[in-house]
Amino acid sequence: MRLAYIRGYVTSTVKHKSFTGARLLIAQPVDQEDNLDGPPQVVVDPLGTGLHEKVIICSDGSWVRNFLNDPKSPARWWIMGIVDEVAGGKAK
Amino acid sequence: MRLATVIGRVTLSERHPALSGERLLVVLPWTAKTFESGKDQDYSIVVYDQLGAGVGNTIGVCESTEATRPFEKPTPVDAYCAAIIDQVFYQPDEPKRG
Repeated sequence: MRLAYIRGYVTSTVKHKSFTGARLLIAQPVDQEDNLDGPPQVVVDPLGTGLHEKVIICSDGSWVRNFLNDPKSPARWWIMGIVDEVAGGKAK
Repeated sequence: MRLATVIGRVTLSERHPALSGERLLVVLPWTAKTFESGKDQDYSIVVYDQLGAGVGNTIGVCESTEATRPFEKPTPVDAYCAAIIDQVFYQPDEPKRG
């Protein structure tokens, strides 16, 4: 799981059929001090997350295949939760 | 899934027996900078395509073990073109109000 900020969305007509109806948001992973860390990922959003919210993204493909109701879905990253507060979390 | 720009195609003369009729694209995966500049992509990778993406298209690439999920038979693939992207809305920072 990684901390990330939601920075937008994508739309697609021609796609793997498992993504039909799914919200696909752009999540920018960040480190413990909110520095950008790695390329933005397109994530499946089961929660109805808003723009610029801080979230936890998870790479458990098995859960998201179940959510999309397709065992053949290539989906991997999805939004597991919307962050309230990160207490501490600074590198010593 | 990462976004990527399609820049070419690859064809094979010899292939792993599990592959047949494959369509392989050479793509440049987007970095954080690419979303703002349209440039500064990562080094190229090859992805397996079943959707018919062409040069110049932006696609969504699913990587890692999930890339093999769409196939009926076990197939050696680690990057799969899962979507041809129509529109990207990107706003790095929340606009100031008032």
